Amino acid sequence: MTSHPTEDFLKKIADTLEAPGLKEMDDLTALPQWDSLAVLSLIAMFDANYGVNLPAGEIQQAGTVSGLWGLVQGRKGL
Amino acid sequence: MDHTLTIEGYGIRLRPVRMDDAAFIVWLRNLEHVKGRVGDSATDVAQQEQWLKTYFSREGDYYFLVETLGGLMVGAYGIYDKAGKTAVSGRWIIRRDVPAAIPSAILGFNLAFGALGLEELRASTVSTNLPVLSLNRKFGLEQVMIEPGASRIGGKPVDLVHFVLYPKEWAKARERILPLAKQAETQIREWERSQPGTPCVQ
Repeated sequence: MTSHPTEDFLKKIADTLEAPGLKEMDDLTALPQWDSLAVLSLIAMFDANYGVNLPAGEIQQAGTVSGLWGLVQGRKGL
Repeated sequence: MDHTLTIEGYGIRLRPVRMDDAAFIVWLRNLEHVKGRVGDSATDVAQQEQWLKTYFSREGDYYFLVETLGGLMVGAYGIYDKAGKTAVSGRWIIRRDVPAAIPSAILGFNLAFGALGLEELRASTVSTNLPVLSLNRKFGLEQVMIEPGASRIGGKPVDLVHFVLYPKEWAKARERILPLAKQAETQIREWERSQPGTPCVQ
C-alpha cells in the first residue's frame, strides 16, 4: 500500500467527475460539478473498480483525491 | 395545500407534510449546510406551525416530507405556485448523511410531470449554492437568467439563478440518472438499518 494515490486512481476520479487536470490535493467540494450525483458516481466507480462500497457521507467528507484514496485503501484492508 | 399525493421509490417516500412535522422542518432548514442557501425561514416550532397553517389553506402548493420507507424523516421538497400547467420546484433540503437527494428529485419531478400534469417546472437557486446549480444542469434544467439581488437571506441580498425544466428534457436526464438512484437506494436502506431502534424494512 502506498500513501499517495496511484496515477490510475487519480485518472479514474478525474474521469468520473469530468474534471481533467484534477490534482491529488485539490478541494473536491470546490469543483463546480461537485454534487450529490457526483458522489453517487464515485460510489459506483469504487464499487466497480475496487470492490468497495463507500458510504456517501464518508465520500462527502474525504475532501480530496488523497482522502478518497485513504478511504478506499482503508476499506480494502478490512 | 392539504393535499394527499404520495409517491415511493428508491428507498424513500414523498408524503404530504403534516402539522406535527413542524419541529423537523425547523431543524432541517436551520442545518449548517443549508443556511445561506435557502430563503429565511421559521426558527422555532410555533413560527413553523403558523406557516404550515397558512400553507394548508393555500391552493396550488404541494409540500412534501421526504422519509425512508420505514418512516425516518430525511428531508423536504415542494412544488408550489401551480398555475395551469406550470409550477415552481423548491424548498428542497435533504439531510447530509443520507444520499436521498437524487431519489427525492426523481420522485418529485415524476410527480410534477405525472400526477400533477405539468408541462413546465421552474426553479430558482441562490447563485452561491454550487451543488444545486450543478444538479439542476445534470437534471436537464435550462438556465434562463440570473437575477441580481432578487432575494434576501440573513438580511443580505442574494442573486438568484432561474431555471426551467420541460418533460422531454427530464425524460432524457432521468434515463442517465436512474442507475445512480438505484445505488443511492442501497445506501439509504443501509443507513436506515444503522439507525437505533429502526425496524427491519424489506
